[in-house]
Amino acid sequence: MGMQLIEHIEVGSGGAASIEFTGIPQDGVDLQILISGRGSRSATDSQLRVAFNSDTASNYDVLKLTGESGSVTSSGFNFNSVIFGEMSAATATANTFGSSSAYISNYTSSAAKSLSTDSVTENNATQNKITIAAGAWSGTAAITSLLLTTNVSFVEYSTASLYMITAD
Amino acid sequence: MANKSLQHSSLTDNIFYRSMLAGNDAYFPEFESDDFLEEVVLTTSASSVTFSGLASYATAGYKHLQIRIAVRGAVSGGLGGFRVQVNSDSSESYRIHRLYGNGSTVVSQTGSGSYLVFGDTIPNSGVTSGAFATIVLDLLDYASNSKNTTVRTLSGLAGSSSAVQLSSGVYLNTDAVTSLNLSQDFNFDLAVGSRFSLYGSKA
Repeated sequence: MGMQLIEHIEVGSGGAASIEFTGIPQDGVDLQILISGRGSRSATDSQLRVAFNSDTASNYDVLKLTGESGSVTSSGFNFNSVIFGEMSAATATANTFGSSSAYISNYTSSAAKSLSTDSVTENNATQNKITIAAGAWSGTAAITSLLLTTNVSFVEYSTASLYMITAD
Repeated sequence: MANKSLQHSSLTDNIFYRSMLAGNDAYFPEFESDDFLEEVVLTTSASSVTFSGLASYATAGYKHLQIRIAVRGAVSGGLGGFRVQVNSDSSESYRIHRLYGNGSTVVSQTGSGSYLVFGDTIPNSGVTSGAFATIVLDLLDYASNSKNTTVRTLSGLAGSSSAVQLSSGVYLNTDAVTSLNLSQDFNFDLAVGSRFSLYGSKA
């Protein structure tokens, strides 16, 4: 089994409202996304969301387990993308970015798609979020593109790396 | 020299190809991005393990690092803390957060200090014989000079003492990471058989 880089995107000066991967090769088995991100939202954290194949309908479900500032919560909901975690944002400690991994199984199958994620923000204070999530997209088409978004925008130096996991 | 006619050539397979591939499949070199870089396996107990050549991996194009660990402690007692120090910096430059459960309790906690400590991670002699904890530690953009270093770890152990946690840590310095020192809290020894495998991903 191999892991091949499909594309690496780094946000430039001025930030970016989204990060998009298109033309995803169809000869892999699974996908993995690694995100080192920071948002411009005026808060200590900002959401990480993913949608597939330009589908912005309410075809996504997520179940999350989150540790935050001494409390632990679990929540689930349906939305127009999978809100799978958080990254550090504007009022978190300067120069501090979150770290996230999202793993999408069988991305070329004709069944609905599942993903498993873990995300952390960081901040030199008690306020922080650590999230484990399971997500689902009801679409049955092979994934050919994915769009990462957040509450406001990704700041400069945020990066996203998309890898294809192959069977050989 | 006169031109030679192929009509009288000794070649017997006279197949005309319009492509230089000559009937062969095209070759696309694969860009493998999950490369094994180096490994330490303890053959005697040791107080720590250090990966110190990380700058060379950055030069070689590795953007992200992952350390895959199977670890046990060599002292009496239960679960010890897993400690990470960056660039030999022992100043008060670290903060951790964790989401932790042990089968009966679930907590969200934070701490700060002169290294990253992820508590209740490493099994010592009081925990199920032969049990090693599994830790996967990720550092994304470790060579960036524009970011503080964020460490994400997923660890677990099931046995007479159990713990599972997803933890984060930040090294409050934007210097590129050039070395990592891994140890047990309070400088307790790591046991024989503990393995620390470093992988890199290019991007």
